[in-house]
Amino acid sequence: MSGPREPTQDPRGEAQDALLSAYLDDALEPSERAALERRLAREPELAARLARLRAVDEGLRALAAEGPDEARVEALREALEARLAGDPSADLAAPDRAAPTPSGRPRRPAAARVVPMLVAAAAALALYLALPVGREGDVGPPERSGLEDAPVGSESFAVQERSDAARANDAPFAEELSSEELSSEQLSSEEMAIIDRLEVLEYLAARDEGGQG
Amino acid sequence: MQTSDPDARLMLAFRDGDDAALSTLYRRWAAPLVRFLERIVRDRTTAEELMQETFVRVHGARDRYEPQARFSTWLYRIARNLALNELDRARNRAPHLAADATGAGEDREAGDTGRPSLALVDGGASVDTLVDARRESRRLQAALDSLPERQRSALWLAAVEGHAYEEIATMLDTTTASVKSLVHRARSGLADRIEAEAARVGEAGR
Repeated sequence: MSGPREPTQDPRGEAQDALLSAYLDDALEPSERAALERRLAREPELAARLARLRAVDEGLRALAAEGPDEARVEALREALEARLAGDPSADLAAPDRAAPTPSGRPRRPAAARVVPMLVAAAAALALYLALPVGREGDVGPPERSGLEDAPVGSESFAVQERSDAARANDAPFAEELSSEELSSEQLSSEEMAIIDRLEVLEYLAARDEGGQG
Repeated sequence: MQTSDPDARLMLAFRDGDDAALSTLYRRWAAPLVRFLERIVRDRTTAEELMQETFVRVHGARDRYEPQARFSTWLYRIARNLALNELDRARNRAPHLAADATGAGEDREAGDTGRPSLALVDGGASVDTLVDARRESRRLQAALDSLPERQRSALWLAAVEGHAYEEIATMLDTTTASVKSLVHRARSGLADRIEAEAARVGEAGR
């Protein structure tokens, strides 16, 4: 664990965090709540810690927003109903995904999904990266196929066979490595920044496409 | 038995022959269940399959359903048990890859859903702002994935799904005091890790 807070060294902080956490979950008695709110008003450090804990919750809720959309939920329901209607062979797997994946297979990391196209896209990216914050409407979007709904093809099963030697290899763009070998921990911060930027540009392109269409 | 839980009433209606009641329950709970299951198994497709399997179990329990707790509590218990079984199976299939239920996960990005939560911060935000948001989301996802499953589940159910500690205790088969502790340790741990990571990245230069 790399967490900076050592509970044994800071029992007071632990108790304080426990109180703040219960406060965020509305799990304090009214009197406890009122007492804490009085402290928050006069103890900026306590208020700052509360803000940091609250930011975690907000981040988690943002992750939740990435959940399945209505259309997806409905498609899954139709598959489910076919099964419940008495067809025991009906596949519960996602009907609109090209290749159902074996259960339990870890999802391909977003980084891994885009890495194979990174080298080819590097030259074009240099242009994007040099652009000022405001985007030109006529700048084409980056390749989309590598960024979302990448078909889970046979190469994804390479992950089942990866060797320890390959896993130890930290050369992120080595061609002999399957993209599955890569994780964010093997990518430099510059490479991760490029991936983040690619995903943002892809998001903006999709948004604009939707807005214009 | 009378129940004030509208979901339990729907389930009783389903038990008594109203098939549409199950569809209503599905539409209400399918998406939150997928999100919750994805936090445990760290894979969207598996989470979707487990959500469907959960409703298969609900359907199978139709004739013997009795509302003893909130319907959602019962539903999440079924879902989590299926997910933990799935983790066990995955671990047996490929021990070095399995998303472990006890933390110390090596596959820190496995639950990354790819699509950034950018719409939440968009509103005409600059590319740089959106890149920052994407980076934060990635860090949080990795930090969340590294927590022990019980902490991960407890925090998610409290902070995102808004369940009371008592309900979560039933879902996780533990005590309310334990849930309070799990949630607090998870939340504090994430806050500390994100802070440390941000400091580390800051020092390394952006």
